Amino acid sequence: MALIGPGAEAPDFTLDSHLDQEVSLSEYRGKKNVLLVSYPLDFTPT
Amino acid sequence: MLGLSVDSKFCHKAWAEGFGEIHFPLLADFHPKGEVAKQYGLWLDEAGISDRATVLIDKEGKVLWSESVTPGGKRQPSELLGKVKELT
Repeated sequence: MALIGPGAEAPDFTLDSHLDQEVSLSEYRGKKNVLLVSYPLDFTPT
Repeated sequence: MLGLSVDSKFCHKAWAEGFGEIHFPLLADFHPKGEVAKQYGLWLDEAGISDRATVLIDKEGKVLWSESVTPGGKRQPSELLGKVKELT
């Protein structure tokens, strides 16, 4: 599967986080740009 | 800035403690595993993990830029910073 690219609509999501709060992409809509940083597993370099 | 992997939030917490504190959310794409990664093309099926990649999304929810450096690769922080500065 190819990595999502420029111009595509970023699919919304709601996920739990280590801060014990759920985070939705849509929270940032109209407010902030988002840098989504994906990595294979915890305890690996970022 | 949002971190994303298929680890549970409990694993994220343990890892974050090692850095003292991480103030941006580490998202648990844990159950169903990799569901968000799959939608973003970040899912590596054979390994069962998400790719090491960065996706810049604008305020309107559109992808502006994305890059994979592969799981074993390294991000280029100065390049990322440049991309973010273009927006501000």
